[in-house]
Amino acid sequence: MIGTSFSFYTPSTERELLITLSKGALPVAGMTDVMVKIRTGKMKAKALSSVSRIESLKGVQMADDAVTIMAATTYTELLENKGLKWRLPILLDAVSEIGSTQIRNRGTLVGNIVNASPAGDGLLVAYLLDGNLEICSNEGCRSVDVRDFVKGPGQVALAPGEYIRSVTLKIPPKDSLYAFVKVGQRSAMAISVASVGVLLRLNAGTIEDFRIALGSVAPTVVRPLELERNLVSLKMEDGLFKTLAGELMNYISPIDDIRASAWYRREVVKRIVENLSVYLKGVEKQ
Amino acid sequence: MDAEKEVKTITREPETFQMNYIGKPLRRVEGLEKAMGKAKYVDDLKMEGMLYAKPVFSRHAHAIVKSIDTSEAENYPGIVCIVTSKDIPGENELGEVVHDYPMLVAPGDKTRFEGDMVAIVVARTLEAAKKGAELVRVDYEVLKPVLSIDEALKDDVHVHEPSNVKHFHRVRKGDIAAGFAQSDYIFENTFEVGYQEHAYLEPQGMVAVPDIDGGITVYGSMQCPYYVQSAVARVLGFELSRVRIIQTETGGGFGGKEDVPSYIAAPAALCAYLTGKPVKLVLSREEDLRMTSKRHPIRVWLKVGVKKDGTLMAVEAKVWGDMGAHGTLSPIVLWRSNIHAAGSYRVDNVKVDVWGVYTNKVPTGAFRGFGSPQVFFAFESMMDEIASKLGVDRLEFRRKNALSPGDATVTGQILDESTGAIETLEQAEKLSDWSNLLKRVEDFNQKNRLRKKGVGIAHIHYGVSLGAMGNPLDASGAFVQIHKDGRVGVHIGGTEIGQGMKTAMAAIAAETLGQKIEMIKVYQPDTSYVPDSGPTVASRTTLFSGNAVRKACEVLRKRMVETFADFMKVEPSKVKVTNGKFSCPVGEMTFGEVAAMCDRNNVPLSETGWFASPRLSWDPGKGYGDAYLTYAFATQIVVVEVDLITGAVKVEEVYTSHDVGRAINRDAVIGQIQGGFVQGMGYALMEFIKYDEHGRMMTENFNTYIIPTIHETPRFRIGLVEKPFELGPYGAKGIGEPSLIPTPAAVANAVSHAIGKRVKRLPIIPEYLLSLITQREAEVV
Ligand SMILES: Cc1cc2nc3c(=O)[nH]c(=O)nc-3n(C[C@H](O)[C@H](O)[C@H](O)COP(=O)(O)OP(=O)(O)OC[C@H]3O[C@@H](n4cnc5c(N)ncnc54)[C@H](O)[C@@H]3O)c2cc1C
Repeated sequence: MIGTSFSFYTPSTERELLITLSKGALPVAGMTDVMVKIRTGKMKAKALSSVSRIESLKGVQMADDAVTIMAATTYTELLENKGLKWRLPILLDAVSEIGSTQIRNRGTLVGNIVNASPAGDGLLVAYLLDGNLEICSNEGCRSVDVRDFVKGPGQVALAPGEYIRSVTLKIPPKDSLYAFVKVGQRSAMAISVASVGVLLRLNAGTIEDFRIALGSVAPTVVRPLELERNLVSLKMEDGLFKTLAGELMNYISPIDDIRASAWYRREVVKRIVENLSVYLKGVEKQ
Repeated sequence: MDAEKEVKTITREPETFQMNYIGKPLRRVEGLEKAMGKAKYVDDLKMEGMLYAKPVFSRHAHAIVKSIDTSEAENYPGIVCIVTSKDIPGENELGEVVHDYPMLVAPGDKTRFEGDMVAIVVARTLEAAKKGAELVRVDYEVLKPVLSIDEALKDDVHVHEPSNVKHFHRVRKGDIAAGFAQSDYIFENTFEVGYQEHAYLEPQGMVAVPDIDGGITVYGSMQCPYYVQSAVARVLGFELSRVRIIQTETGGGFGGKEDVPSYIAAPAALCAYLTGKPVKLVLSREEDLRMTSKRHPIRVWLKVGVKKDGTLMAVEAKVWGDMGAHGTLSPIVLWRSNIHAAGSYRVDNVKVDVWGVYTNKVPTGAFRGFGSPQVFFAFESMMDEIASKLGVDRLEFRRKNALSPGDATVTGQILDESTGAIETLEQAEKLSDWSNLLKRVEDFNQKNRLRKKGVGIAHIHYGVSLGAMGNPLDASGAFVQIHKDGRVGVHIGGTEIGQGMKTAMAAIAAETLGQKIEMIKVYQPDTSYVPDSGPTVASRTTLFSGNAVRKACEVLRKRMVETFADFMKVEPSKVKVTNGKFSCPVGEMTFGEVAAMCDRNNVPLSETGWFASPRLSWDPGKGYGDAYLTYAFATQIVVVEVDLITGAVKVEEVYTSHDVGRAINRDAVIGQIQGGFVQGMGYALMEFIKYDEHGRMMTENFNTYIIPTIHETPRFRIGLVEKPFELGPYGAKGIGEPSLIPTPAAVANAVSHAIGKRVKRLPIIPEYLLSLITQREAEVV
């Protein structure tokens, strides 16, 4: 019993979707965020239009250097996709920790991105893999970097009448090491209290590529590009991660909330980064 | 599920006769209906012309209600009426034990927490009722709320007059000063424990119906129909005979449905009485979390004296429990804290004092363990602390001081034969392979820098049933009727709340009568069938209702045996009844045939049973004497792994031994032990209630109030000690609560062992643990 009513459309083509959007409907996918918000009154909607049954918005397309995930693709479908296992293992690590089986059977990566929570696990990976969105409307389609799309907690650059077709993620350089560390209040069905995603490529002990994204420690996911660039061409030495952890503290601004204190968020991010070598994994060969 | 279950029995009295059901793993008699979604819970009830009620809750934790304006709400479409305090025909009072809980706060009076009701909106639809509740305008004068034990103890702002602080109970045994003087070492520590929400699957709810007998019948989710009956009668000003309470299938209680259902039933009944229509009042999860009882946050100060050889000499304890805004059951919950605060060991000199303090937060009440898990966490933490200072094995230290039959408890009660304390210690030692376990963990810790394992142990006792404070309530009835087709109907006053009561009663009836278990029907409790049987709490239902059923069935069996013997022309002693068959040397008949014969011969085939607790000799003024009828014992050993980077804890292994007197339904006992463990583990590690500075609960649903899932459920090895209790049905004591009680202590001790620093607070959320870990790192460097 949610005690409120709204119209619900299930278009089967993108054209039909656009018609419902022009009538003021909000595009939705798995509705795992939307229904929760409607029930608690945090979101008011007169009409919802689901992308879930639109065939052209389903599936995953692989290119040499990137993977395109269509908006109606569920997390479960991503986990079952063999091609992603070696192309984007960090995505699968993050996805496998989202919610529960039931949530993953419905939830989508695009929904996670539009929801724009600083705790979004999919969003963090999209930041790390330089995600790019294809946004469409009656006027045509445009492409926007995920980092530019997210304006703040729950705020995104999506105009009425627009919907997202897909998100494209770049495949990291070959032989990259990666880590996704999620700290939650329990081991499943829990929102991140803090999260860290890392990609690292070494060449004979020298850093060639380094990326780090941090969740739940600022109004949006944090990706300290400047710090990342400074690490390139450094030797991978003892103490490097410790220094990095210290410097990272300047990039985050965690808050006290119902789940954890700012102190804990800072401390735990610092400790994870100091001990990154424990978490880093290599990509399994296909 | 990877939970491995293994049951070992080390002590067992020889069987007096071969049993068909008692002690066997039994399928739940009501299980299929529940699994298929056919069972009727309160929200499934729909009646012709039924109306919906929504309470208007206080917006403030502490405020004077200046005025209530219902005019706008009254004009909203679908609204039938809006009920305020002036509409109450009887007493405006809900409290069962303490009388300080108005059902509806009257203008001029104070709201004392955000869950106090100011008005109730009755409407034709739930939507209209909700909208109406939003439209009731209440003018408040906001007062400063009292939000912690410390603030309450200052006593400058009063929640209730004349003081926030009440001294409730004491224990005095021996000479405490002499005990400390004779001790070689004295230990002192303060421990703090937070709230716990019951998290039953089904929120609280009632449907009240003006009935054909000129009274009110209330259907609903509850543990204690007789509490509900008195509350409804009190508020309506009705005679008890005009109030009938029928329990609907209940989706969990854990103590949360002991007194609270009265607070839902009374408003629903009032609305039904005023409108002449059935009225449904079901709380949303958020309302339920904000309004209904929780486990008491407790602070315990302990001082323990020991000899060099490890003999416990003296225990002094001071306990403060946060009662929240209304006293409700606090005096009796904290009475159990009083009896258990000085631990489960032989000690001659004891002094315990217990206070309850009022705050402007949710009233705390009954919860599986009833004020004992908190104090055992404190005491068992001390036991570990002492053992490590003395350099003795923790299990050995406990065994040295453990209770045996004939020993006196901390309150001076001499223990009976059914005292399996030492057996549980020894069984847990064997199950866990204790000394190898300690080595295994040490090895692991040598090899790992960032992950550390720890082993924890806790040993507890638990007074079964209500005890001396509840003596007048400690009796239960049963009404058993055998139909002429041989089917058996059992009515009792205890309730099925998911714990397996119906199966236990069916097993006892089947075993006693000699009928097959599938021929026994255990009905939903109905106050018009069975006299006041007290509450379904305190792990007492198998013992009390079980004995009442057994007694009624013994009489019926005797009558049937005599009728059959008479017909067969044999001595009654030659008759055997088992598994639905009467037999004697000259012939046999089915149970149904004998029942039909009794019916034809006007042999009465209905009977009542009654079991009452013997009087206990407790002296509240002196704080000494027999506190409970008997005690259950348990020893639990757990292994945890701590992630030193994040402060996360994972419970990996559990070895637990329980002295249950006798397991009636083996599967249900195992289920209770596993479930109790997981609930206790949640309390130890992750569950907490957070309030903001205005006294509004922030953790109002299960996205922020976090409980364990199957992912966190560890591997179990479970052992049962069966030393029959002479008054128990087939020797049974109780397991509902002892399953949870040792867990917070055992988990905390394991975590302390892993990190090398004493945990003094529950829950051990990563944040708290990481603060200990960083302190420890600073000390070591
Ligand atoms: C029990 C539970 C556990 C959860 N656990 C996690 C977790 O561990 N980690 C985590 O990150 N999240 C978690 N979530 C949140 C949620 O499941 C995810 O954010 C999920 O990815 C949302 O996807 P969806 O398809 O359900 O989005 P929806 O709810 O359908 O939509 C979310 C937002 O995206 C918009 N939207 C959706 N599709 C489109 C589109 N094609 N074009 C434009 N806008 C669109 C909607 O308008 C809405 O604003 C959990 C939620 C629940 C209920």
